[in-house]
Amino acid sequence: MRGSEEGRSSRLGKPALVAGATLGFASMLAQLVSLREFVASIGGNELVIGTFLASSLLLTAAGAWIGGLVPRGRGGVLALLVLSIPLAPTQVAAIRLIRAWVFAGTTPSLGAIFCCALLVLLPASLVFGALFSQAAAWSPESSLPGRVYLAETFGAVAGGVLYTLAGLVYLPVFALVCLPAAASAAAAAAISWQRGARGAVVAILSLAAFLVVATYTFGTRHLLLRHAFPGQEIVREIASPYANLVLTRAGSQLNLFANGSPVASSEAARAAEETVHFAMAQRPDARRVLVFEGAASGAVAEILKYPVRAIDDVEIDSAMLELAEAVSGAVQDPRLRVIVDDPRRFSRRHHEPYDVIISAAPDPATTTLNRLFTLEFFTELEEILRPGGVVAFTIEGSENYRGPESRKLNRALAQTLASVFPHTLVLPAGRLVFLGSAEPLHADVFTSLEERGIGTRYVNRAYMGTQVTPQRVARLAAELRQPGPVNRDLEPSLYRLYLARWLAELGGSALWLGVAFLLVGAVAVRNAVVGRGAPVRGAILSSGFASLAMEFCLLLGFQMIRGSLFLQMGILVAAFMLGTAAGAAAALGRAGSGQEIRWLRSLEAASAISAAGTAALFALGFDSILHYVEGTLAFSLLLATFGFLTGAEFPLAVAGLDRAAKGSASKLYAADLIGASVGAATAGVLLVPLLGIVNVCLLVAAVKAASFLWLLAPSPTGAWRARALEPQPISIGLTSFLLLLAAAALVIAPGTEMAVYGLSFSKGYHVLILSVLFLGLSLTLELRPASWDGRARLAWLSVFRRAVVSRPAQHLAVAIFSLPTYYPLLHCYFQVPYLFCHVCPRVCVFGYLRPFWVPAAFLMNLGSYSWCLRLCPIGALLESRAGKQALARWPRRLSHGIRLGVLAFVCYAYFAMPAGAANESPLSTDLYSVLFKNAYSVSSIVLAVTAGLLVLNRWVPKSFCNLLCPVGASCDLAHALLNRIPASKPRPAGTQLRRDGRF
Amino acid sequence: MGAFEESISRRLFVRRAIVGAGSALVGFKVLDDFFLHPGRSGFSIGFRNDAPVALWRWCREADYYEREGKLVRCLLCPHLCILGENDRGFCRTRVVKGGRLHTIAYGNPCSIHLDPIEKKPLFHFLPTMPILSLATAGCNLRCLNCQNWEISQKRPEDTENADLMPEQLVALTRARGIGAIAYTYSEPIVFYEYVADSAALARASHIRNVLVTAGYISEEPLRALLCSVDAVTLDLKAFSRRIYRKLSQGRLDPVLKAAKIIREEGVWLELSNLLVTGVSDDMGDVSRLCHWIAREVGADVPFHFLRFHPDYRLRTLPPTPVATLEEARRRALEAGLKFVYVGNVPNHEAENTYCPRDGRLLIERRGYLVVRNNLVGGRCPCGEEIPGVWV
Repeated sequence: MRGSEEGRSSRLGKPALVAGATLGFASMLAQLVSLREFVASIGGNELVIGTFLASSLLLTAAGAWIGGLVPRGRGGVLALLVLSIPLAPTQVAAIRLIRAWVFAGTTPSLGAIFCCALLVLLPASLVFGALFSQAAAWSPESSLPGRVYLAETFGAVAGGVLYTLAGLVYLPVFALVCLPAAASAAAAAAISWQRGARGAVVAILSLAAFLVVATYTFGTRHLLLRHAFPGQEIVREIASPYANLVLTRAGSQLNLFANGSPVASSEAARAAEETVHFAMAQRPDARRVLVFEGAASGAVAEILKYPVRAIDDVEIDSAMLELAEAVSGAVQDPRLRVIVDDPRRFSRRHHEPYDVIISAAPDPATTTLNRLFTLEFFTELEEILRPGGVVAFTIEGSENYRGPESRKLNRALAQTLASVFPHTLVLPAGRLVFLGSAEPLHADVFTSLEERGIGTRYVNRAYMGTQVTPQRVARLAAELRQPGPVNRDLEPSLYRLYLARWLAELGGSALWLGVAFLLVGAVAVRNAVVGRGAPVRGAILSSGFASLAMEFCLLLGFQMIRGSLFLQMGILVAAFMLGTAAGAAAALGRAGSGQEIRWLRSLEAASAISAAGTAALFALGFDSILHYVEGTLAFSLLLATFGFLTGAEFPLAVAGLDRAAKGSASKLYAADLIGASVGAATAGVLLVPLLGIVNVCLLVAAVKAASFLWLLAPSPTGAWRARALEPQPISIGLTSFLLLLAAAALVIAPGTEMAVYGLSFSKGYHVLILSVLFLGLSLTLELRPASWDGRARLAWLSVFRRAVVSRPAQHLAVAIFSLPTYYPLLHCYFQVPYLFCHVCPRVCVFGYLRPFWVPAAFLMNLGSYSWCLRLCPIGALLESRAGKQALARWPRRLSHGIRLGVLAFVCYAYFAMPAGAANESPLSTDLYSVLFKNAYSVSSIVLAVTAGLLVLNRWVPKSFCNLLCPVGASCDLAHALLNRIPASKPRPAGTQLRRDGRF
Repeated sequence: MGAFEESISRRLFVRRAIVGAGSALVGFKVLDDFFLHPGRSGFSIGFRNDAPVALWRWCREADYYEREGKLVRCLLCPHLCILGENDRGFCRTRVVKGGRLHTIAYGNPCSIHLDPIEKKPLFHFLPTMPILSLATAGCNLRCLNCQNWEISQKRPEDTENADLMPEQLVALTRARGIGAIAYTYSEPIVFYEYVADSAALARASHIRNVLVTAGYISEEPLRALLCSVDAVTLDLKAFSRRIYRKLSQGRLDPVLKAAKIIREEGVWLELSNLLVTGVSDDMGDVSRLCHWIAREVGADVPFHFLRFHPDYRLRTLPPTPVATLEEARRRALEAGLKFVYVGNVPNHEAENTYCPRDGRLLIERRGYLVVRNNLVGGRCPCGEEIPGVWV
C-alpha cells in the first residue's frame, strides 16, 4: 500500500515540490543574511552589493547548469538537500572569519572582495542551483519544472517574509541562519521517510539538531565576532532591520559599529562638534532645531549647549538609539523629542518651521543614503525652514589636499546645495561642513562660540584655528566654483562620484572586475541563449535582467518619495515576490495548452509596455499620482505587476521548449539567473547613476521589446538558430583575430596603453593564467578519479568535458591568453619578439610569465598537443584560416628544415644573448646590438611579418606554427623521440589519445 | 574496475612521467617565484613603463642611484628599486629616462599651508612659531592609516601642483616673515632633491628646516641631508617588525637606524608613535620601544603617543582609547623617558611639558596653542635644563 502511494506521489513529483519550496526558502534566507554580513564586513556600497549578488546568481546559474548535466536521479535531490543543511550557518561563519583573519581591520582591495565573495558563495550557490535542476527532473512529467519553479517562488516568499519579521523582532543572526538548516533537514527527512529509510531520517535530524544547537550556542556567544573586532570586548550585538549593530569596549571607551564601520565612540566627540557647532554658530539664537540621526553621533548633546527651546531628533533605527545611549549617555531633557521615522518621510509630512536643520547622516555611499543629499530633499528642507534658517550636513574631507575624485564629489554636492539656497558656505574642518541658507553665512565661527561661551574640545580656535582659516576657506571655495552635476532623485550622480572616490582610495581600478564580469557574462549569456529554442531562452534571460532592474528602480523610487522604513520595504519586496508566485501559478494553468509561445509573446509585450509606462510615471512625477493613491499601495501594485509578468514566463517557457525537447528546465533556470546577475551587477553601479531611473526603465522596455521581436521568429523553439550560431572552429579563430585587433588598438593607442599594461601585470590575471595552465597540465596527465565507475564517472566526464574542453571554454581560454600572446608583437624591445625576454631590460607580461608558461605549454603538447590545439591564440587564429588541401601541396621537408633552423637559432640566441647584454657599446655588432631596439615600441618589421604570415596561411597551413614556432617544433621533436620507445601494450582503441585533443 | 580502465603502455608511461615531473617542477617554480620569493626578480617593486612620455620642468637628475647594465638601481631608500627604461620607482616620484634616474617631484608641491609647529608635532623646537608646511605627491611607504593618502598614494602628474622652485620657496618664506619650513604631509624623502636644495638655500637665509618623516631612507643620503636640517620628527609606527611591515609595507630596522643617525648628527629629534587600536597598541611592544629609545637614542628625546582615527584603509577600527594612550605614556615614563606626550587628544594634561626633576608645569598647551611658557632661558625655574631649541 505504502509502496503504491510512494510511487504515485513520486510520479506527481511531490518530493520535488518539497525540495523546490525548501530551496526557495533556504536560498533566499541564506542570501539575505549573507549579503548583510558581507556588507557589514566590508562597509558596503552598491559595488560590493552588486558584486555579491551578481556572483551569487552567476554561481547558482552554474550550479543549475551542472545539475542539468548530471544524470537525473532521485538520490541526487536527497543528497543535495542533506548537503544544503550546513550551508547557511557555515556561509555566515566564513564571512565573519574572513573579516577577522583575512581583512583584519583593513578595507580589502576590490580583488580581495571579489575573490572572497566567490569563495564564500561557491558551495551554497552550486548546491542550490543543482538542486533546482535535479528537482525539476524528478519525473518526466512536463509540468513538473513549472511547478517546482512555483514551489521555489513560494519558498522564497516565505523566506523573504520571515527575514522581514526577524528584522522587526531583532532575531539574532545565528538564530536566523538555523532556519534554512532546519528546513533542509526537514525536507530531506520527509523524503527519506517516504522512501522508507528510517535510519537516514534519524541521522539527518540528529545532524541538523547538533548543527542548530552548535550554531546558536557559538553564534550568540560572540565567539566569531570577537576576532572581527581586535583589541575589543563585544558588549552587545543587535541585528536591527537597518544594520548589524555591535557595541564594543576598548579600555574605558565604548564603540558603536553599524555594518562594521565605527559610527560613534564615547571618547571621540569631534564629528559631533563639527556637525553641530559650525551650523549653530550661524544662528546661535535658534529656537527650534531639527536633527537627523543625531543620537549616535552625540550631536543632540552638543545642540543642548545652546539655549534652544525644542530639538526634534529624527532617527530611522530605534535599535541604534538604544545603543547610542550607551555610548553617548542618555539625554534626559524636556526640550528633546525623539521621532522614529525616515528623514524624507518626516520632512514631507511635517510643516512646523525650524531655525536650524542638521543632518548627521553618513556619507552618500549607497542609493539609500544618496536620497539625503539630493536637490529634492534640500527643497523639502527649505520648505520647513524658517526664513533665514540654516541647513547643515557634513561629508568626509581631507585637511591638506583634496584629490580630483574628492573635488568632483564636493563640487556636485555644493552645486546641488546652491541650486536651492542662495547663500552657501563650505568649511574645511576635519569633515567638510556644508551650510545653506536664504541669508548670508559667515566663517568666523570661533569668535561666535567664544562670545557665547560654548565649551568645546575640538571646534575652537586652539585646535582648529589654523585649519578653518580665511585662506583655506577661500581655496576650498575656489575648488568648488567649477561646475559639477546636480544630484537629483531620479538622476543620482553623487553616489557614483562617491564610488569613484572609494575606488581611488582602494588604489585599484574596477576595470579588471568589469572585464572579468564581461567575459564571464558574455560566455554565460551565449551559453544560455544559443542553441535550440534560443528566442525563448533569450526571453527568460531578459526577464531575469528586467525583474532585477525594475525592482531596483521601483524600490529606489519609493525610498525617494516615501522613505525607506524597513516594514514598508519588506511589504514592497513581498509584493514583488507574491506577484512572481501568482504569475507562475497562473501560467501553470496555461502550460500544456499548446499556446505557450503565444502567451509568452503577450507577456513580453506587456513587460515592455509596463516598463515604458513606469518610465512615463517617473518622468511625469509620481507626486501627482500619489495624491490619489496611497504610496505603498501604488508601488506594491507596480512591483506585483512586474513580478507577475516575469514569474509567469518560466513555466510557459519550460512547457513550450519541452514540447520540442525534454530537459530544458535547467538551462532556462540558468538563463533566468544569468539575466538577474547582469541586472544585479549593473543596475545599481552603472545604469541608474549613469542613465537615471527614467532611462533605465526605458532601457528595460527596449530589452523586452527586442526579446518580444525575437520571439516572433518563425520557429522560436526550433533548432534552426542553433545551427546558425553553433560555433565552428572559425568562430574561435575569429575570436582570436578580433582580440588581436583589440590588443593592437589598445596597446598602440597612447590613451589606453598604460591601462592595458597595468592590467596585464595584475596579480589576479597572472593567477588566472597559471590556473588555466595547471588545468591544462592536469588534462594532459588525465587526472580524473579513475576509481569511479558507472554514473558518477559519466557525470564527472560530462561536467569536466563541458567545463574544460568545450567550445565556450576554448573561446574563454583564447581570450585569457590573447593579451600576453599578442603583446610582444605590438611592443617589444627587440626586433624579434618572444625570444629574448631573459635579457630584456623590462619584460612585458609574456616575458614575465615565460619561465612558467613555455614549459607548461611544452608539457601539455607532450600529451595531446592540447596547448597548440586548445589554448594557443595563434594556433586558433591560424587553424581556422588554414586551407584544407594546402597541406598536401606543401613540401614537408622544406617546412621541417625551416622549423629546425629556427629552433637551432633560438637555442643559439638564448645562450649567446647574455654575453651581448653585458656589452653596453651601442656600436658593437654582436647579436644583442643588432636585435635590441632600445625602444619599447611597435616594430613595423614585426607587424609586416605578422601580416605576411596571416596572408601566407591561406596557402601554407598554420604558417607560423609550421614554420617559425619553437614550441611546436620542439614538441614535434620530443614526440618523434617518444615514438621510438616501443609500446609494450597497445591502448584500447576507445581511449587512444588523438591529436585533435579529444578523449 | 570499470570499463574505462586503461592499460598503460611503456610509451605512455614515459610520457606521463615526463609531464608529471615537468608539471611538478613548473609548480615548484611558480610557488617559489610568486609566493616564497616574490621580490627575487627585482621587478616586484616599482611601476613598469609608467614614466611620463617626456620629462617636465619639475624634474632633476636624482642624487642617489647607480647603473647595473641596462638597469638602474635607486639608492635613496631601503627599497633599492631596480628599474628599467621608462619605469617608475615604488615612491612614484622617480623615473628612468635615457638610462638616468630622475626625480619628478622638484619644485611642484601640491599642498602648502601655514601650520603651528606644535602640529608636526614638535614641542621642544621654537614653540608657537608658525611654519610653512609643504609636500609633493608620492611616498615610499603604504601606510594603511595614512591621513594624506590623496597626496602620498598619487603620482606628481595626478595632483594639482604649485610652481615653487627652491629659490621661490625661500623667497616666499622670507617675504612672509616665516621662520621655518616643514617638509611634511607625505614623505619628504621622496622629494629628497627638492628638500636638499631648498633646505640649503633656506639655511643661508636663516630659515629653519624641519623634516616630518618616517625615516625610511638609506644612511648616506640621510647624513647628507641632515647637514642642512634643523629638526626632525620621526614617526616610528610600531616596534614589531611584523606590524611595521603590515602597517606600512616597510622594514623597521632602517627606521631605527635612521633615528640613531639623526641623533648622532646632532639634529634636534622628536619621536612619535601612532597607536592603532588592536594593531600597534600592544603594551609589551610599547615598553620595549621605550626602553630601546632610552638606551639607543636618549631618554631626553621627546616622545609623542598619537591617537589614531579611522582613515584610509583602516576605517573599521575605532579611535584609540584615551586610557591606552595614558597607559603607554606611563610605561614610557617608567622606561626612563623624560618627556612623553599624548597627541590628538585636545586639552589632555599630557599635552603639557613638565620638569623631569620637580614635575613643575613648564609649557601649558591647549590644542596647538601655547597658553603659558614658564621656561627661563631653556631651563625650569628649578634650574633643570630642558633639552630643545628654544630661541
